[in-house]
Amino acid sequence: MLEYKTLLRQLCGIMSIPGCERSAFGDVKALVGDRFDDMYCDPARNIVLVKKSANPGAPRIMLDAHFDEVGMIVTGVTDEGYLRVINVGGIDRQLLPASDMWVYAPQGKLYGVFASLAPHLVKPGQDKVPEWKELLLDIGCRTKEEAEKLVPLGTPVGYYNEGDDLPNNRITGRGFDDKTCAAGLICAVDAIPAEDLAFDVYITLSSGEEVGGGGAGRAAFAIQPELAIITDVNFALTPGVSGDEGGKFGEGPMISLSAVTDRRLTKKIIALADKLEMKHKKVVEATSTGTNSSCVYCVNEGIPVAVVSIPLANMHSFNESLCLDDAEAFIKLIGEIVKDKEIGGTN
Amino acid sequence: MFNLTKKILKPVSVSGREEAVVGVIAEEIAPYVDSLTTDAMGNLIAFKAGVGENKKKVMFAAHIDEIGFIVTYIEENGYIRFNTLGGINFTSASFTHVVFESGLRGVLVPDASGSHVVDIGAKNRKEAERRVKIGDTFAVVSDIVKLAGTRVAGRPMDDRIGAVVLIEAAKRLKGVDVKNDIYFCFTVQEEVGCRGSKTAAYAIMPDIGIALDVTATGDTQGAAPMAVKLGGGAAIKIKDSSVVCDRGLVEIMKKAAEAGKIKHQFEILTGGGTDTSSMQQTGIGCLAGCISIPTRYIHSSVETIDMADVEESVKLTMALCDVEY
Amino acid sequence: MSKYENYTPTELLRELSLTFGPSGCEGNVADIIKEFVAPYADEVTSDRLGTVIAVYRRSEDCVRSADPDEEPVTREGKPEIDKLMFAAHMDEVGFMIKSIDGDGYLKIAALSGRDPKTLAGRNVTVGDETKQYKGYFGVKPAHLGGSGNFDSLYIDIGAKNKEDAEKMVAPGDFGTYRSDFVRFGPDGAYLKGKAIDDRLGCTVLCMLLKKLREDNVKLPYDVYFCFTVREEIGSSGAQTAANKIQPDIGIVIEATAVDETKGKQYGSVAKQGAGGCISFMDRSTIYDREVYDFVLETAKKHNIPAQPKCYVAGGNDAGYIHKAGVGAKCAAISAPTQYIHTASNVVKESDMLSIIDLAYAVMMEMK
Repeated sequence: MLEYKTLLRQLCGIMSIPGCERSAFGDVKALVGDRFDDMYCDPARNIVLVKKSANPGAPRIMLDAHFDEVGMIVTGVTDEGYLRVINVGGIDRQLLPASDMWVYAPQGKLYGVFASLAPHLVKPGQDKVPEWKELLLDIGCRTKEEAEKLVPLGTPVGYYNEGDDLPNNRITGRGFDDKTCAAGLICAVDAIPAEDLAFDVYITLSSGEEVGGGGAGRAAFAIQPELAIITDVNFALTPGVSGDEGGKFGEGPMISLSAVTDRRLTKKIIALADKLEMKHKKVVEATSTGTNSSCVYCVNEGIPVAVVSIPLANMHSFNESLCLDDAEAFIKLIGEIVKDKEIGGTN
Repeated sequence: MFNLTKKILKPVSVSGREEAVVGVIAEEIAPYVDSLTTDAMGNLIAFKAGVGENKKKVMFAAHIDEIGFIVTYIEENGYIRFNTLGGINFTSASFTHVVFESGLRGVLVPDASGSHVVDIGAKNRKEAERRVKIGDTFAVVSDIVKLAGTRVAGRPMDDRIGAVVLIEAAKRLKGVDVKNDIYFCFTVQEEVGCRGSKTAAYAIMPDIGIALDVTATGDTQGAAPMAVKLGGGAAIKIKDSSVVCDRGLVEIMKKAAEAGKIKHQFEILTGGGTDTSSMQQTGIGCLAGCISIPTRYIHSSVETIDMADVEESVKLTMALCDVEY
Repeated sequence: MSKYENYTPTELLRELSLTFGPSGCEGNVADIIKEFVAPYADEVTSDRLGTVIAVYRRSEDCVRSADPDEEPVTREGKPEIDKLMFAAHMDEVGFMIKSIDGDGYLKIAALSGRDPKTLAGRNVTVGDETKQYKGYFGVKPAHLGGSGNFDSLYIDIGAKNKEDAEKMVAPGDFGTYRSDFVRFGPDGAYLKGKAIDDRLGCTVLCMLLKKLREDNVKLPYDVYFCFTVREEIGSSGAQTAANKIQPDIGIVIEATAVDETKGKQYGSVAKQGAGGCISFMDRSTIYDREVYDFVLETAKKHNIPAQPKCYVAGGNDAGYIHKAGVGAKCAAISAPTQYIHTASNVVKESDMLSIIDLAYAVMMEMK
């Protein structure tokens, strides 16, 4: 049996900034490869894990969780030896000054911290959020040559924060978007014996979601599943987030009602959750769920999709936060979905 | 290559109206490839078969459409109203000579209300209608001129210079065996959203997709900090705003450049979009990347390049035809 | 002997940096310092606010003779001194819990001026001297406006609701950043951590006292090592300590803000790696010219890196010390520090070591 929290922390420790997802394959395979019938990295940098049903002629289901995480890459070095970076994926720049980073340099990762101007030295009008070209990453080098020797152009930069365990099964860390669901899908499918699977299950840990590249669409094209469950994180209900948009910690997964998703499939999933007496939150996301559903549902002749999410606070920051109880509920729900012969089809 | 450059940049072929330049390119490249096809959108695909045992399908894409204008209305007084095709820089386009597909000449000037019009010298609508009709396309004129050293200025370097690279690579590979099946694609309608490359990629379903396009430089007056510079060699793209290139392919390109002693540099562009994204997002996906030709003043009438960078780009293209992927 | 007796300066700095000690709640830091200095000081006391004072008494052998026939010791150029006071503050920038909302989130009030942008997302520690809890600052999603203003900041300690949170903390409890202490840079020359301002100063004072005792130095004046409280909210601790001691000379060991990111230019304060900055003026003190020159000359004489602080900004304990009671002549020696008042102060290790050497040399020169 895989332990969710351990697997999540392990996956979060693997750097997977968009473009670099293929380099994560070996590490993921070492962790869970032997628990699946097949595991490969496709041309679009999706990591695909396959578990076949013992029942012959079972249709295919695609369970998607994007594996890329937001990060940055080095665009240059200043004369004083500081690194310039640009974001890959959405990052709130105002959080960066004085924040700790890892620079994934060729010879091994280096510590870096973003410069922050002390209040005593700030001149009037200088107080705004710095632009990307103004943000400077300090790696302890003080000449251009010193830094250039260590850090080539395009070197990935990621968050340093390892996170904590808090009371009430709450945890913090980085990369929870979307390794939370990636770990959840793996644990869910691993727990179901092949005899009980109603589908040949394809878990796609997909690439490029954070930059609109939609590796998941390519995976769907190749796999041609009967239906797809897109799993991602969604907004937790925290101060400043409205009751309609956010899910409260500890009250289970969030299920999206949308014009993009398949309503019939979504209703069946909600019915499953009710059958389990599982608390869950229905969120209305009319035209866009902000997930891989938009690049999967139009592939070929169309694929029915549903979106199931786990609530997350501080999304895209170096300190994301979730409730393990919600992840456990998610795992249970996914487990029920892959056992349900009736969940596909047109009735 | 300077004469080839002049020849390929000359035809007026704006997005959606690329027939003229397709004709010129087809004639130029035919002797060097195994077959030529065009598709419904107008893309020109030149195919050269590979001989390797584990050969892969390598698609190179250079877009041959240029930014330009399309006639929407002819005023009573003979002035021409138009819509833009692609991202026009009016600081550069104002008060310039323009040329229609037919060869007709005009001048593009501001009007009184912050917009622009074209004056073809017609006295009135009737006279204008004898020479121009709604739906005709035109572009800013530019001579291709040599500057100091190996630098050249003119338009549209974006992206006819990419086409020049592919033609030259095909030419030098004539009679040379390469490991992989090569698709030299001259794509249409890139400037209005990378449209042509989508159908070209779908038809080919490449294993490797490499665009040839221009990129900005960080070495002009007041430029934003950027590593790419004129004369720094072929630029290997890491990222632009439409695509994050496959890191594995970037490594392959880097190694091929190092092995071939090809002068190269790396590129991260904070804006911009290229055909790379189309190839990455087609079918089952592919390793997608881009060779960029450093270009100053992109989308102006004085796009400036260094032919030395073009030469290195040709060499890198050729090397990538023969890599064991 | 204490468990810190074999600590290098950087190891002691690390220990102090990781300790919880916001303004008004410095007890945990004081405990470590008291344990460290106990074997070396002649006397350790606290004043009424919590400032720790460790005394190294003058030696009888050095008392100047009152005999008028004795050749007077040439003390030309040396400041007159009976009592020397070193000051470094134990408190760090922090905040206070203002209220707990129905969902168990904590709202805060700043203890010193703070840009709310620097707090969003940060790991924090909240609590008091006896117990502390981990938590973090929430970030409002950018598409909903972001965390730009103070009122939108909240701390999450993982509580289920208000009642659950009240089992852990209460309004009036304190909070600080929580940040790893990291050595980095190609030669490991740089140190990053919270509260280097001014646990660095505390480390310097501890090491000076230890060295005096281990070298069995005989001084003709008393030295008071004062680990002050509440500097970040207005130097109340330095004021009361100075009132009590009434020193002739006060030397403040601090961390000072520098910006190295743009290279040397007017207003760039000082350079990391060039040693302690000696201030001639800041917003609260015009430093005594004689003492200022003396410190710089001592540095030059002993080949210890030191530099003038080339910018007038900020203030420190000297602001109160020089005006306390009948007044004192003051100097400030500061370690050039980047990203001050954030969770990630960065200092060059060699500067801390140079400051220890310089302060020691100054004491020797004043014999």
